[in-house]
Amino acid sequence: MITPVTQPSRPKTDEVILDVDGLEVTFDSPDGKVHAVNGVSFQLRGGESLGIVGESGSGKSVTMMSLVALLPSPPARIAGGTAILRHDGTEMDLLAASSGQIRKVRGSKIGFVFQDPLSALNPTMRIGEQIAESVRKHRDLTEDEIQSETVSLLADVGIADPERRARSYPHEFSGGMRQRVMIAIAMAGDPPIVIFDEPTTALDVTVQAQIVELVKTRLAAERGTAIVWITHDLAVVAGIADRVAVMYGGTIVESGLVDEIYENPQHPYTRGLLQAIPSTDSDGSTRLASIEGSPPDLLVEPNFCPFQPRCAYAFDRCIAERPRLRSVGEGHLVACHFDLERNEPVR
Amino acid sequence: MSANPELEPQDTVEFGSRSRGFRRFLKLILRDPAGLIGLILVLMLVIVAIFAPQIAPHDPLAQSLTNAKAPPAFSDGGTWEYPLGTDRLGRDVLSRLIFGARVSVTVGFFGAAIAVSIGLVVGLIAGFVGGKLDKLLMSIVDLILSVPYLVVVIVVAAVLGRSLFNVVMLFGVTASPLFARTTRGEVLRLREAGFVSAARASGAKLPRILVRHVFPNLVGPLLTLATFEMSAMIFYEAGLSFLGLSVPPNIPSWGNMLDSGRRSLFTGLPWLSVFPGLAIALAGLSMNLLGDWLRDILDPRIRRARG
Amino acid sequence: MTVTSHAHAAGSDPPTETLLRVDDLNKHYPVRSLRLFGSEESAIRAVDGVSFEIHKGETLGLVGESGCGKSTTGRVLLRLEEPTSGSVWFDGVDLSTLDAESMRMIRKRMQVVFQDSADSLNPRMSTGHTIAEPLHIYGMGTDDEIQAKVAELMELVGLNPGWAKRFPHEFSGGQRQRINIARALAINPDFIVLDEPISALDVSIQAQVVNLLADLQARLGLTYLFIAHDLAMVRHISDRIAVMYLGRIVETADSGAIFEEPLHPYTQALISAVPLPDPKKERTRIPIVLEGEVPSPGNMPAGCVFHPRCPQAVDRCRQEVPVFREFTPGRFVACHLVDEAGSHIVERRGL
Repeated sequence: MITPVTQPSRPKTDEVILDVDGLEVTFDSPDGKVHAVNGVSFQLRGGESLGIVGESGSGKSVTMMSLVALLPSPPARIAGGTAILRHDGTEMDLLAASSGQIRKVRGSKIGFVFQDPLSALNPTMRIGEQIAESVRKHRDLTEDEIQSETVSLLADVGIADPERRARSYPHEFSGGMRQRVMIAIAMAGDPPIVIFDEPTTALDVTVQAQIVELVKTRLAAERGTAIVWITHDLAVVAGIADRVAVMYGGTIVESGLVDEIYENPQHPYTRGLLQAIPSTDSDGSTRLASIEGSPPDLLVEPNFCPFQPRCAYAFDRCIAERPRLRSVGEGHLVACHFDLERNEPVR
Repeated sequence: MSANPELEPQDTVEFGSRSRGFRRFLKLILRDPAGLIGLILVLMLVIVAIFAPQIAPHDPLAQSLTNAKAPPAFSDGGTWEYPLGTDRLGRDVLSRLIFGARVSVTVGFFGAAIAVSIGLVVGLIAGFVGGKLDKLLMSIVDLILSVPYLVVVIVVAAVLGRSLFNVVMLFGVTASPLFARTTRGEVLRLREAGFVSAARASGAKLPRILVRHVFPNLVGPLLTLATFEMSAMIFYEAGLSFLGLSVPPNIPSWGNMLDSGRRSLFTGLPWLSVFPGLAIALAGLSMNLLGDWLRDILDPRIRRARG
Repeated sequence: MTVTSHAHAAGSDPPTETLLRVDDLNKHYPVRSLRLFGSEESAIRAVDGVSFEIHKGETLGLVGESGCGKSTTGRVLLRLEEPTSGSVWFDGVDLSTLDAESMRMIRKRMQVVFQDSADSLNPRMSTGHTIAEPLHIYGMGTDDEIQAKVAELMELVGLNPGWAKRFPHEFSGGQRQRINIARALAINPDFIVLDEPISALDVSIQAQVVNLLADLQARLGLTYLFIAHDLAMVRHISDRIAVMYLGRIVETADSGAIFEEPLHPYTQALISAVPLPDPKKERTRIPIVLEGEVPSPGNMPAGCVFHPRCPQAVDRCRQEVPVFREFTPGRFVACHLVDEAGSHIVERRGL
């Protein structure tokens, strides 16, 4: 529905700019080792929008935060995997990079927008200065150019009267406006990738619509920025993502093109999740299909299917062996020992 | 959670037993060595203070000039008769330390008890009644906080004489504002808590809300604060004793031992000040360790931080 | 705002009996802003002239964005907060006329489940004691009877009765919400205010709790006021829906009608903003983007409170407060742009 007004500065490519392979993250806790991310692999292509869907404890945020070393360590520990960032002809493994290198990656290669903008903004600093600081860090501009760039960024994210509002403090802004500021800060270094971690969860639905629209037009369409949108909300993802990865218990259980995932889900969890949510355009006479049981216990070593205790299709193999992602269609991967299409165990 | 919970065979449903809580407590303390050390030291201190006459090898006041200035048993010329040596008047240092624990423990426990009692009542009234009374009570609290207590102690000691009772009362009153503020803050928070609203919606009246919902949730923060305050009071008392403003000189206390030993520190009798100094430090440290541990286990936010 | 007829329920309509009626309810919080000399009193109108009724056995969804006063409305009608003015009638009794003891007896029939399942449970009280508390308060049964009743309630909400000894932190969010529901059900209420009961839960757990609520309603004949901001879930669970904006109800109708034919411009914008869990439909959905921000309830705009953001506002909206009135049976709207026939006089854009 979005028709780019201008040609994106970075056209959509098939080139993989972020290649994550076998990522494992654990946390030390008083109760033992928490297996937060267990072998996550995915690829992000230039200019595409990837939705990462999962419930609390699925590892969706931990996965993305570990890429730019935003997890406190200890207790967090990257236990394995690689994350290759390819940009401007250079290649680097984010997981092996030094903290100095990662600091350079943040903002200039990968931008981050969090759920709670209030805690991400400095309460004692004017909005304009916080954006200018980010511009100054990533671009070689004169002080005057920085100021005008700041104002134009604020205008870009839809803040009315940007010259005046640049002098405001975060508490003078509403939640939606603060999130716009966060997006402006993320855009300041013009990174090829921006990761959104539940950016609209704390916002009202009308404000959410504004933010989603802003990201789709200003970032994805105009700048050709690759978007990673982390959320628990399947409806939001349906509107923003080109591809979707569904996470459960620290693994990607299914991924594929957005239409394919919603029309032809091949994992029992994805299928259950889609049936568990009502839609405003269908009346509520039917009963919701609920997924019984509780989220997985991440303290247990994950050598079985994490969804198996709640799965209607589970059989002995699901306890004995962790399923690997297998292809079930073009670009459609699923990690399940049961073939839902044929209604029988795989092979 | 399941649609068909596996039903365990049971005759009656018992809601939360004490033994379960105790076992949990044991499990938690065993997992934290620092907390365990703190708890053991505090318990030892209390036992020593209570059973001082039974434990002490000598009368702490008995002078014996023939045995004066005896060094500790482990150094040259020392004897196991006086394990930590004797002072210039031949009094047994260990026995004096053991009796001195009584002063510290009395000040710590009773001072904190008085502070908690006053603070709890004031805080509850201020938090629940609110309005003008709240403002008045909090002004008094601020007033007490702004009075320099050392000046008051000197005046009290001068006017009423030096006594342990005066010190305990004074510490209790001057520390009570902290407890009043904490209680008030917790009450204001609990008043708005969902479970208090739910209890009110279920028709609960104020006494039930206080007893069942407010008090149990005050125990944690007040107990933690009291532990830290006890440690502070033990330090303060030692300081006052050192200045000669606390107990009369004929009662052994760690502070006045430190004071009288001070002059001999570099004249060949270091044990006279080293041991009371160690006792003070150890008592304070053990209570701080215990307090830290209590704060961690009693704060549900910290315990819940998993996952 | 004038109150219009509540007569339709008592009239020739199907035999729906009104359980709860709210008449011109107001909850204003005084705010004192300090001036150089003295201070100035003003009021935050959290709930401003709200009227609705709930029929026996139905679910009324109360929706709106944060700060619109929906939760305050729930608290005021349970008398957890005193209303500034207005009345709440429960089963034909005006609650404002009751003394404390009679109120307590009526309260027995009205219960509540809050959003934050952890905050609504006393961390120092075991599950069994929590569920038993209302029974103790009303002296309903001996200790043995109460224990049996607690076990029965726990089974009813899908919890293992053997877990009665456990404390809140030992449960997951969904399980804690089941405990809250069991407590609310303990004294056999007729009416339950569900204040965002599933907002804090994971998607797969939300469906469990919603199904449980629906089952309990069917089984026990309960009446619900379901307060929420998730419109898809509200549509699913509610028979009728009331939409709030800035302390006022702007539209009330059957839930199907609200979603298919929203009349108030705010309802239209709200519904158009909800994303659909279907990529194909999402590509054609055009949200009505509202300009600006919700004004502060301490500084209400003159005329229609929605006019500064309304894409369709005319001069009349800036001057005159629209009357909240019934256009077609069961359908109340407060908008100048709805004609007598109950249809919108301005061509709706976008949809």
